[in-house]
Amino acid sequence: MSIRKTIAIFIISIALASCQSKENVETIKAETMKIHDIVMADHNKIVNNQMKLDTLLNNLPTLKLKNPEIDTLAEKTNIKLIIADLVKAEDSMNDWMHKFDADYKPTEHIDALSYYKHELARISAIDKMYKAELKKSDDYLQKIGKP
Amino acid sequence: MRNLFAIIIVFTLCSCNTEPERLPFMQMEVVENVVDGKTVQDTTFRTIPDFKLYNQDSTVVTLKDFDNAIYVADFFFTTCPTICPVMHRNLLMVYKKYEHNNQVKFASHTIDVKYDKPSVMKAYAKKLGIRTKNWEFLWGTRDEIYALAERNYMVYTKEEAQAPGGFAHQGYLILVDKHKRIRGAYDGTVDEDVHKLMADMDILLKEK
Repeated sequence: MSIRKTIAIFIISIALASCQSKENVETIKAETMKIHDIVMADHNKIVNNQMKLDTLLNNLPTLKLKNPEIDTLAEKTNIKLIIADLVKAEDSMNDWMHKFDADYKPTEHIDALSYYKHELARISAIDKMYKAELKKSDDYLQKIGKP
Repeated sequence: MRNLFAIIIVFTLCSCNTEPERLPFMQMEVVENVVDGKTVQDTTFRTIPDFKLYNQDSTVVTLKDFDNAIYVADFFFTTCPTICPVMHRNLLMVYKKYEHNNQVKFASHTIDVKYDKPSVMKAYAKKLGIRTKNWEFLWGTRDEIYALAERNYMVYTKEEAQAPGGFAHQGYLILVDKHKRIRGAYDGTVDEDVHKLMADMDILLKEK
Protein backbone atom coordinates (compact mmCIF):
# COMPACT_ATOMS: atom_id res chain seq x y z
CA MET A 1 0.00 0.00 0.00
CA SER A 2 1.39 3.34 -0.99
CA ILE A 3 1.99 6.06 1.59
CA ARG A 4 -0.62 8.25 -0.17
CA LYS A 5 -3.29 5.52 0.21
CA THR A 6 -2.42 4.97 3.86
CA ILE A 7 -2.71 8.71 4.59
CA ALA A 8 -6.09 8.86 2.75
CA ILE A 9 -7.46 5.91 4.75
CA PHE A 10 -6.17 7.50 7.96
CA ILE A 11 -7.86 10.86 7.18
CA ILE A 12 -11.16 9.16 6.22
CA SER A 13 -11.09 7.09 9.43
CA ILE A 14 -10.54 10.21 11.55
CA ALA A 15 -13.37 12.03 9.74
CA LEU A 16 -15.76 9.09 10.21
CA ALA A 17 -14.85 8.79 13.89
CA SER A 18 -15.45 12.51 14.32
CA CYS A 19 -18.92 12.29 12.66
CA GLN A 20 -19.79 9.29 14.81
CA SER A 21 -18.76 11.19 17.95
CA LYS A 22 -20.84 14.28 16.97
CA GLU A 23 -23.84 12.10 16.26
CA ASN A 24 -23.54 10.43 19.63
CA VAL A 25 -23.34 13.77 21.45
CA GLU A 26 -26.57 14.95 19.79
CA THR A 27 -28.33 11.62 20.38
CA ILE A 28 -27.34 11.49 24.03
CA LYS A 29 -28.20 15.17 24.56
CA ALA A 30 -31.63 14.60 22.97
CA GLU A 31 -32.20 11.55 25.16
CA THR A 32 -31.22 13.60 28.23
CA MET A 33 -33.75 16.30 27.29
CA LYS A 34 -36.42 13.67 26.69
CA ILE A 35 -35.95 12.21 30.15
CA HIS A 36 -35.85 15.74 31.63
CA ASP A 37 -39.32 16.36 30.17
CA ILE A 38 -40.60 13.05 31.56
CA VAL A 39 -39.26 13.95 35.01
CA MET A 40 -40.84 17.42 34.75
CA ALA A 41 -44.21 15.81 33.99
CA ASP A 42 -43.85 13.95 37.29
CA HIS A 43 -42.59 17.10 39.05
CA ASN A 44 -46.11 18.44 39.46
CA LYS A 45 -47.19 15.19 41.05
CA ILE A 46 -44.16 15.20 43.38
CA VAL A 47 -45.07 18.72 44.56
CA ASN A 48 -48.79 17.95 44.71
CA ASN A 49 -48.22 14.89 46.88
CA GLN A 50 -46.08 16.99 49.23
CA MET A 51 -48.92 19.49 49.49
CA LYS A 52 -51.50 16.74 50.13
CA LEU A 53 -49.30 15.21 52.82
CA ASP A 54 -48.70 18.66 54.38
CA THR A 55 -52.47 19.08 54.57
CA LEU A 56 -52.82 15.65 56.22
CA LEU A 57 -50.09 16.53 58.70
CA ASN A 58 -51.91 19.71 59.66
CA ASN A 59 -55.24 17.90 60.02
CA LEU A 60 -54.37 14.79 62.01
CA PRO A 61 -57.35 15.21 64.40
CA THR A 62 -59.72 15.18 61.38
CA LEU A 63 -57.88 12.13 60.01
CA LYS A 64 -58.39 10.37 63.36
CA LEU A 65 -62.12 11.12 63.21
CA LYS A 66 -62.32 9.57 59.75
CA ASN A 67 -60.11 6.59 60.63
CA PRO A 68 -60.46 5.96 64.41
CA GLU A 69 -58.20 2.90 64.24
CA ILE A 70 -55.06 4.82 63.21
CA ASP A 71 -52.21 5.72 65.54
CA THR A 72 -51.78 9.45 64.78
CA LEU A 73 -48.29 9.60 66.30
CA ALA A 74 -47.11 6.76 64.05
CA GLU A 75 -48.82 8.30 61.03
CA LYS A 76 -47.23 11.67 61.78
CA THR A 77 -43.80 10.01 61.64
CA ASN A 78 -44.75 8.13 58.45
CA ILE A 79 -46.01 11.27 56.72
CA LYS A 80 -42.90 13.24 57.69
CA LEU A 81 -40.65 10.50 56.30
CA ILE A 82 -42.55 10.33 53.00
CA ILE A 83 -42.47 14.15 52.66
CA ALA A 84 -38.71 14.14 53.37
CA ASP A 85 -38.15 11.58 50.59
CA LEU A 86 -40.30 13.59 48.16
CA VAL A 87 -38.34 16.75 49.01
CA LYS A 88 -35.05 14.86 48.55
CA ALA A 89 -36.18 13.73 45.09
CA GLU A 90 -37.34 17.26 44.19
CA ASP A 91 -34.07 18.77 45.41
CA SER A 92 -32.09 16.27 43.31
CA MET A 93 -33.97 17.39 40.22
CA ASN A 94 -33.60 21.08 41.07
CA ASP A 95 -29.89 20.59 41.66
CA TRP A 96 -29.52 18.80 38.33
CA MET A 97 -31.38 21.53 36.46
CA HIS A 98 -29.39 24.34 38.05
CA LYS A 99 -26.07 22.72 37.13
CA PHE A 100 -26.90 21.21 33.75
CA ASP A 101 -25.30 23.04 30.82
CA ALA A 102 -27.37 22.56 27.67
CA ASP A 103 -24.75 24.44 25.65
CA TYR A 104 -21.72 22.62 26.94
CA LYS A 105 -18.90 23.41 24.51
CA PRO A 106 -15.61 21.73 25.30
CA THR A 107 -12.61 21.93 23.03
CA GLU A 108 -12.66 18.18 22.29
CA HIS A 109 -15.80 16.25 21.25
CA ILE A 110 -14.98 13.37 23.47
CA ASP A 111 -15.34 15.69 26.47
CA ALA A 112 -18.84 16.65 25.38
CA LEU A 113 -19.73 13.00 24.96
CA SER A 114 -18.51 12.18 28.47
CA TYR A 115 -20.38 15.19 29.86
CA TYR A 116 -23.74 14.31 28.29
CA LYS A 117 -23.33 10.60 29.08
CA HIS A 118 -22.77 11.52 32.70
CA GLU A 119 -25.80 13.87 32.69
CA LEU A 120 -27.95 11.18 31.04
CA ALA A 121 -27.00 8.75 33.79
CA ARG A 122 -27.82 11.36 36.45
CA ILE A 123 -31.23 12.36 35.05
CA SER A 124 -32.11 8.67 34.50
CA ALA A 125 -31.35 7.99 38.17
CA ILE A 126 -33.56 10.96 39.16
CA ASP A 127 -36.35 9.63 36.95
CA LYS A 128 -36.19 6.30 38.79
CA MET A 129 -36.18 8.14 42.14
CA TYR A 130 -39.24 10.22 41.13
CA LYS A 131 -41.19 7.15 40.05
CA ALA A 132 -40.32 5.27 43.26
CA GLU A 133 -41.24 8.22 45.53
CA LEU A 134 -44.43 8.86 43.59
CA LYS A 135 -45.52 5.25 43.94
CA LYS A 136 -44.74 5.24 47.66
CA SER A 137 -46.61 8.50 48.33
CA ASP A 138 -49.53 7.60 46.02
CA ASP A 139 -49.93 4.25 47.80
CA TYR A 140 -49.86 5.95 51.19
CA LEU A 141 -52.41 8.60 50.17
CA GLN A 142 -54.61 5.87 48.71
CA LYS A 143 -54.40 3.87 51.94
CA ILE A 144 -54.92 6.73 54.37
CA GLY A 145 -57.37 8.71 52.25
CA LYS A 146 -56.77 11.94 50.43
CA PRO A 147 -57.05 15.15 52.49
CA MET B 1 -72.71 55.00 -11.31
CA ARG B 2 -76.04 53.95 -9.80
CA ASN B 3 -74.66 50.43 -9.47
CA LEU B 4 -71.64 51.76 -7.63
CA PHE B 5 -73.87 53.56 -5.12
CA ALA B 6 -75.89 50.37 -4.65
CA ILE B 7 -72.72 48.39 -3.93
CA ILE B 8 -71.52 51.01 -1.43
CA ILE B 9 -74.91 51.02 0.37
CA VAL B 10 -75.05 47.19 0.53
CA PHE B 11 -71.46 47.07 1.77
CA THR B 12 -72.17 49.72 4.42
CA LEU B 13 -75.30 47.88 5.60
CA CYS B 14 -73.38 44.61 5.79
CA SER B 15 -70.66 46.32 7.83
CA CYS B 16 -73.25 47.78 10.20
CA ASN B 17 -74.83 44.38 10.77
CA THR B 18 -71.50 42.71 11.58
CA GLU B 19 -71.16 42.06 15.29
CA PRO B 20 -67.68 42.81 16.58
CA GLU B 21 -65.75 39.59 16.97
CA ARG B 22 -65.67 38.32 20.57
CA LEU B 23 -63.53 35.71 22.25
CA PRO B 24 -65.12 32.83 24.19
CA PHE B 25 -65.14 32.72 27.99
CA MET B 26 -63.09 29.78 29.19
CA GLN B 27 -64.64 29.61 32.65
CA MET B 28 -68.30 30.40 32.12
CA GLU B 29 -70.87 28.53 34.19
CA VAL B 30 -74.63 28.53 33.72
CA VAL B 31 -76.39 27.91 37.03
CA GLU B 32 -80.10 27.49 37.61
CA ASN B 33 -81.72 29.44 40.43
CA VAL B 34 -85.33 29.40 41.61
CA VAL B 35 -86.72 32.94 41.86
CA ASP B 36 -90.38 33.42 42.89
CA GLY B 37 -91.05 29.78 42.13
CA LYS B 38 -89.61 30.04 38.65
CA THR B 39 -86.35 28.46 37.50
CA VAL B 40 -84.07 31.03 35.94
CA GLN B 41 -80.68 30.53 34.38
CA ASP B 42 -77.85 32.71 35.56
CA THR B 43 -74.47 32.99 33.85
CA THR B 44 -71.42 33.43 36.04
CA PHE B 45 -67.81 33.95 35.07
CA ARG B 46 -64.95 32.67 37.17
CA THR B 47 -62.25 35.24 37.64
CA ILE B 48 -58.62 35.11 38.73
CA PRO B 49 -58.55 35.66 42.52
CA ASP B 50 -56.36 38.29 44.12
CA PHE B 51 -52.77 37.33 44.88
CA LYS B 52 -49.73 38.85 46.49
CA LEU B 53 -46.47 37.91 44.78
CA TYR B 54 -43.06 39.52 44.30
CA ASN B 55 -41.63 40.62 40.97
CA GLN B 56 -38.06 40.75 39.63
CA ASP B 57 -37.52 44.02 41.54
CA SER B 58 -38.70 42.40 44.81
CA THR B 59 -41.75 44.67 44.68
CA VAL B 60 -45.12 43.35 45.80
CA VAL B 61 -47.44 42.68 42.86
CA THR B 62 -51.17 42.06 43.29
CA LEU B 63 -54.01 41.51 40.86
CA LYS B 64 -54.74 45.24 41.14
CA ASP B 65 -51.53 45.90 39.19
CA PHE B 66 -53.28 44.31 36.20
CA ASP B 67 -56.32 46.61 36.38
CA ASN B 68 -57.40 48.18 33.07
CA ALA B 69 -55.14 45.83 31.15
CA ILE B 70 -55.39 42.50 29.40
CA TYR B 71 -52.55 40.15 30.28
CA VAL B 72 -50.83 36.93 29.29
CA ALA B 73 -49.91 34.53 32.11
CA ASP B 74 -47.53 31.58 32.02
CA PHE B 75 -45.56 29.24 34.31
CA PHE B 76 -41.86 28.60 33.82
CA PHE B 77 -38.49 28.31 35.54
CA THR B 78 -35.27 30.06 34.62
CA THR B 79 -33.08 26.94 34.33
CA CYS B 80 -35.52 25.04 32.10
CA PRO B 81 -33.53 23.73 29.11
CA THR B 82 -36.38 22.63 26.84
CA ILE B 83 -39.91 24.08 26.70
CA CYS B 84 -39.58 27.42 28.57
CA PRO B 85 -36.85 28.95 26.36
CA VAL B 86 -38.98 28.34 23.25
CA MET B 87 -42.12 29.64 24.97
CA HIS B 88 -40.39 32.81 26.22
CA ARG B 89 -38.67 33.42 22.89
CA ASN B 90 -42.14 33.41 21.32
CA LEU B 91 -43.63 35.48 24.13
CA LEU B 92 -40.86 38.02 23.61
CA MET B 93 -42.19 38.53 20.08
CA VAL B 94 -45.66 39.22 21.58
CA TYR B 95 -44.12 41.55 24.20
CA LYS B 96 -42.30 43.54 21.51
CA LYS B 97 -45.53 44.04 19.59
CA TYR B 98 -47.24 45.58 22.65
CA GLU B 99 -44.15 46.90 24.45
CA HIS B 100 -45.44 50.48 24.66
CA ASN B 101 -49.12 49.66 25.09
CA ASN B 102 -50.01 50.15 28.76
CA GLN B 103 -53.19 48.12 28.27
CA VAL B 104 -51.14 44.94 27.77
CA LYS B 105 -49.17 43.13 30.49
CA PHE B 106 -47.39 39.84 31.00
CA ALA B 107 -47.20 37.68 34.14
CA SER B 108 -44.64 34.87 34.19
CA HIS B 109 -44.77 32.79 37.38
CA THR B 110 -41.77 30.71 38.39
CA ILE B 111 -42.46 27.18 39.61
CA ASP B 112 -38.89 26.84 40.94
CA VAL B 113 -39.47 28.98 44.01
CA LYS B 114 -36.37 27.75 45.84
CA TYR B 115 -33.93 28.92 43.17
CA ASP B 116 -35.69 31.60 41.09
CA LYS B 117 -35.56 34.36 43.67
CA PRO B 118 -36.38 37.89 42.40
CA SER B 119 -32.68 38.68 41.80
CA VAL B 120 -32.32 35.55 39.60
CA MET B 121 -35.42 36.54 37.65
CA LYS B 122 -34.15 40.10 37.25
CA ALA B 123 -31.03 38.75 35.56
CA TYR B 124 -33.20 36.43 33.46
CA ALA B 125 -35.46 39.33 32.37
CA LYS B 126 -32.43 41.46 31.51
CA LYS B 127 -30.93 38.64 29.43
CA LEU B 128 -34.26 38.24 27.64
CA GLY B 129 -34.22 41.96 26.80
CA ILE B 130 -37.17 43.19 28.87
CA ARG B 131 -36.94 46.96 29.13
CA THR B 132 -40.35 48.00 30.47
CA LYS B 133 -42.42 47.21 33.56
CA ASN B 134 -45.13 45.51 31.47
CA TRP B 135 -43.65 42.05 31.96
CA GLU B 136 -43.70 40.90 35.57
CA PHE B 137 -41.68 37.83 36.59
CA LEU B 138 -43.51 36.64 39.65
CA TRP B 139 -42.29 34.76 42.69
CA GLY B 140 -44.38 33.35 45.53
CA THR B 141 -44.47 30.39 47.87
CA ARG B 142 -44.85 26.92 46.38
CA ASP B 143 -48.42 26.64 47.67
CA GLU B 144 -49.43 30.07 46.29
CA ILE B 145 -48.01 29.39 42.83
CA TYR B 146 -49.39 25.86 42.50
CA ALA B 147 -52.81 26.93 43.77
CA LEU B 148 -52.95 29.75 41.22
CA ALA B 149 -51.91 27.39 38.44
CA GLU B 150 -54.04 24.39 39.26
CA ARG B 151 -57.17 26.07 40.56
CA ASN B 152 -57.25 29.06 38.26
CA TYR B 153 -55.06 29.60 35.22
CA MET B 154 -54.54 26.01 34.13
CA VAL B 155 -57.98 24.56 34.87
CA TYR B 156 -58.79 24.26 31.21
CA THR B 157 -55.48 22.76 30.19
CA LYS B 158 -55.64 19.93 32.72
CA GLU B 159 -56.51 17.35 30.11
CA GLU B 160 -53.09 17.87 28.63
CA ALA B 161 -51.41 17.74 32.02
CA GLN B 162 -50.11 14.31 31.13
CA ALA B 163 -48.28 15.73 28.15
CA PRO B 164 -44.50 16.00 28.51
CA GLY B 165 -43.80 18.69 31.04
CA GLY B 166 -46.93 18.53 33.20
CA PHE B 167 -49.20 21.53 33.66
CA ALA B 168 -46.49 23.88 34.83
CA HIS B 169 -44.06 22.83 32.15
CA GLN B 170 -46.18 22.48 29.05
CA GLY B 171 -45.66 25.96 27.67
CA TYR B 172 -49.21 27.27 27.90
CA LEU B 173 -49.94 30.98 27.54
CA ILE B 174 -53.19 32.09 29.17
CA LEU B 175 -54.98 35.23 27.96
CA VAL B 176 -56.88 37.16 30.65
CA ASP B 177 -59.24 40.05 29.95
CA LYS B 178 -59.66 43.38 31.79
CA HIS B 179 -62.25 41.77 34.08
CA LYS B 180 -59.78 39.00 35.07
CA ARG B 181 -61.63 36.33 33.07
CA ILE B 182 -59.71 33.73 31.05
CA ARG B 183 -60.42 34.18 27.35
CA GLY B 184 -57.90 31.87 25.68
CA ALA B 185 -55.16 29.25 26.16
CA TYR B 186 -52.37 28.83 23.60
CA ASP B 187 -49.39 26.54 23.21
CA GLY B 188 -46.47 28.96 23.53
CA THR B 189 -44.13 26.58 21.72
CA VAL B 190 -46.21 26.50 18.53
CA ASP B 191 -45.80 29.47 16.15
CA GLU B 192 -49.36 29.18 14.83
CA ASP B 193 -50.77 29.36 18.37
CA VAL B 194 -48.63 32.38 19.22
CA HIS B 195 -49.89 34.25 16.13
CA LYS B 196 -53.45 33.31 17.12
CA LEU B 197 -52.75 34.73 20.59
CA MET B 198 -51.68 38.06 19.07
CA ALA B 199 -54.76 38.17 16.85
CA ASP B 200 -56.97 37.40 19.85
CA MET B 201 -55.23 40.09 21.92
CA ASP B 202 -56.14 42.64 19.24
CA ILE B 203 -59.78 41.50 19.41
CA LEU B 204 -59.77 41.66 23.20
CA LEU B 205 -58.29 45.17 23.22
CA LYS B 206 -61.22 46.38 21.11
CA GLU B 207 -63.78 44.80 23.43
CA LYS B 208 -65.90 47.25 25.41
